Amino acid sequence: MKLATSQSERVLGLPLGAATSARLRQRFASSLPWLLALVAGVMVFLPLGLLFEGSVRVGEWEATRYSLENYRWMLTSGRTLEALGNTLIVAGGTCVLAAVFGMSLAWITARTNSFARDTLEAFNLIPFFLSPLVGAISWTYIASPRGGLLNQFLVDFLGLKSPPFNIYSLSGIVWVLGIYFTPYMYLFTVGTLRKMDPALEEAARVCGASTLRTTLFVTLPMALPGILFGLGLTFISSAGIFGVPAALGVPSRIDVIPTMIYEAVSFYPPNYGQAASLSGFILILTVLILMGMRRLMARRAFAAVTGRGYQPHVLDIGRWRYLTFAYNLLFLLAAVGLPLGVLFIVSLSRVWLGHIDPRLFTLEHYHYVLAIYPLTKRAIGNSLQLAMGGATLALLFAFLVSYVIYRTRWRWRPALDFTTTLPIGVPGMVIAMGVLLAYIQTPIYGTLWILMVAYITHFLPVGIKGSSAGLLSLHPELEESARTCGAGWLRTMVMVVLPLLRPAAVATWLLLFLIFIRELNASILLFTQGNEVMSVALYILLDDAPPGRVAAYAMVQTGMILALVALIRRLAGGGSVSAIS
Amino acid sequence: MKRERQDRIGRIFWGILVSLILAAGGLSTAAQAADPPALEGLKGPERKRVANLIEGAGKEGQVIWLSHSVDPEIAVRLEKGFREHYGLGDFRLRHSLMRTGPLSTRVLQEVRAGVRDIDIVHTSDFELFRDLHKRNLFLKYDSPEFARYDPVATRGEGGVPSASGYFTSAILTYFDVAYNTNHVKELRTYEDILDPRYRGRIVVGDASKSASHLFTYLGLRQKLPRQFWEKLAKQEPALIVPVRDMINRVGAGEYWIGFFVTARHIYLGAKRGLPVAAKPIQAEVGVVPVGYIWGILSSSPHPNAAKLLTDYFHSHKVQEMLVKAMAYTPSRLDVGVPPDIGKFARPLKEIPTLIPIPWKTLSRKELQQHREEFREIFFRGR
Repeated sequence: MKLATSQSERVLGLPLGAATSARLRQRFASSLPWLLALVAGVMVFLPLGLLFEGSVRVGEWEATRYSLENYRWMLTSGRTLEALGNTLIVAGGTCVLAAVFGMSLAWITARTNSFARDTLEAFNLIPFFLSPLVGAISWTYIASPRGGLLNQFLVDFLGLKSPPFNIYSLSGIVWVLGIYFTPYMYLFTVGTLRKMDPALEEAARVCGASTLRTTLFVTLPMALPGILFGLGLTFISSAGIFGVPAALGVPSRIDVIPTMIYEAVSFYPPNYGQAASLSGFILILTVLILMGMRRLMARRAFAAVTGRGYQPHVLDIGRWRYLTFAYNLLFLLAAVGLPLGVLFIVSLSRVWLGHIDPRLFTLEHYHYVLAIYPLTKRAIGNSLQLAMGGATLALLFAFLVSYVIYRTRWRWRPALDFTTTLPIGVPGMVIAMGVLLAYIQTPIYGTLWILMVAYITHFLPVGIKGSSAGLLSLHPELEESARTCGAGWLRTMVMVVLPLLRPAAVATWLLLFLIFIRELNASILLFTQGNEVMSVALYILLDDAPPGRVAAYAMVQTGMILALVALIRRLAGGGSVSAIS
Repeated sequence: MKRERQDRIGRIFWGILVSLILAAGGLSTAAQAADPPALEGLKGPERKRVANLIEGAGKEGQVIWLSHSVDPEIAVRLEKGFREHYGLGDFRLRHSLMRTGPLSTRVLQEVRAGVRDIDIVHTSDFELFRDLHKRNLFLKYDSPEFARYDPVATRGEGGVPSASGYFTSAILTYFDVAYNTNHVKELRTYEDILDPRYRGRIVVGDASKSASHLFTYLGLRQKLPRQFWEKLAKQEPALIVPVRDMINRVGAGEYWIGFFVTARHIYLGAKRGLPVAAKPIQAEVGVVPVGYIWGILSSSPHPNAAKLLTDYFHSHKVQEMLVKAMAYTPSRLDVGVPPDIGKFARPLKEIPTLIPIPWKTLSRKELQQHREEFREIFFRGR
């Protein structure tokens, strides 16, 4: 980073006080990368290091010893290898489904005059607001082979011989996760498509390329950073999710790595060594994917947003705009309407008997979760505190790290990038185990702070890639212009960079907020009495409450998130919440 | 004359003032002297014991209780009742409901790390209690309430986990078979479940992933041969862990039969309006009593409060409330079970056959072998 030096200020005739403060600024600026690296290193490697140490340790209490027994078990157990295969199928299938839905919807919204696209945009993100576990539960009411409402309808009214859908299967898991991750792919694609310089597309069309050819060979490649990051994040995240495979796979004896990890730590005596060795699978996947992404993106320039003014190009698709509208509506019906509708009906049912009976409708479950049950009431406040505070801290840290990685020439940038990206590949409950081991004897244990540390550690990569996608879209010439005019680094950030990054920053903060507010995998291991969050409260309700109460609380959570998102969008100036890539 | 009148008025004034002050002090003393209900009727050493505990609990201000079996709404009632009973208006009962596995994991983690953040552990996992007891990690407290309990629950007799003064199984349950009365006319025996009509319509508690289901499988395995379980596996049952989830699915008709559902959950489901009933207990087979074991950790940060809560939880009033609200099987001898609950959750002494689990001697290896056997039978070919 270039800053004014004391020499320069003497030349400019500035008082020595200014020179001293400039020296201090320079010292701070040169120390900042090291400080960030230290914090990131402690956050990431302390828990992972303790976990690794646990993975090469066997035995209990005082009688423990170092051994590779856990790794030997992992590589020779047929069950583990089957779980690995299932994990890859789930992750790969989720990527394909999320990419198909997410990218097509992003293109429709950002680059066509599809009917009511602006109205539908906010709704396209709703699947992301649902807890994946609750999404899975909703779909059991819809597509359970024996009691699902959709199956019952199709059998009764279409005369089918047997129910066509079985949600308790690998394809059922892929379906629910695919819908859940569609907003990821959507967000990481639509922002870039909107801010893209249309000159290249216009050039292609002038040369005679069709709309489809232009889209496939010009538009989408230019949006590759966002798409690649979205795919990588989707693959890694879906491989590490526990709730959906637990709800839909376990009854059918379908194991994936996260459910095996949970089994290892949730059955007495817990075997952290086996859990840690299992997480090695996903860690290796993460490293390979990250290395591949870095190699691919290092070869190309993706500056699609430059200092020149432009008008985003919107394609007139004629009568097809109603077809694209219908496609978007169909997606929303399948991804939002059906699950939320069924959830709402179940939440109103005094008892759920497998069919809709208006005579049983009541609001008692809402009354219970909002006014009577202390746990659910307390969890709302805890979740809001954690989500807002955590998203803000994570974004701040993420932006600084992103800037060091993509805008400086600090020698250890690749190491910082790797360190801060690594946690996304480690399952949330494994991060939680490491955080627990690291901080159990510190004052933050038993408070919301330990949850915040786990959240930020795990999801910092999301913040960093969100910030960096925004930074990458800004051509350095914008900053250089400001510096040429005499603005210092801070002034350039405040007056030039941050305003341009604002949509991406808001989108990233929102993404982090949404992730934090319904995080379960780490929370379930780290919560203690008094600091439960909504996802934990929901999990407890799932275990020991009637379906109506579970559904009511899920509706409360979803409604609260929707309302908060709408409020934040209004405060942030409206527009599309899609500026991450 | 005027001066004498003034002196008289002054004396009357001061007399009234002093009287008022004395009266206020007297009232205050009277107020302080009012006993909380817990001390009413107590005399001598017992009164002193309870009074000391109340004083200690008052200073401690709270108790931390991890449980896998007591619902939070019941805990709220208990907190209110505890405050009234012992006159501790600001006392906090910090209760957490957790599944057995994560609860045991949490306790183990904190005990090993030397963190003093749990007072009472309340779960059915006897392995945890056995391991901690071996390392003297439980506080010995022989509540006078224990004298009114069946020795099965307090002295480790009869295969129910307990160790005098260290941990007890005040409340019990047993796992049974639930069925949806809209789809199944009646179930009388375990063999009825093997009817081909029920193929794909059964849900079984996964004993490979749950301590309670494993203990029940272990016990029933002594009476039902491996052949029975293999035939049950051929019925292609679903396997899940949470019992409430099982009863909800059976009640909704998604499955018609639930195997390893607690008797009390069948009652609670029926009470909510679900069309469920319980298979009657077969005398020649019996049931496995699963104790909800209660113990105070030796590292308890609030020992007085923990002891007081132990007394309160095991009292007649609370046990009766738990039976009526949660349909537990009481082991307290003077607590009865209402007839409507008794149809589903029979009192201990009315259960014809209890299958004891040799929890004191059962090794981890043997438990693991049973878990593997269950997996082999129910996961074969999947």
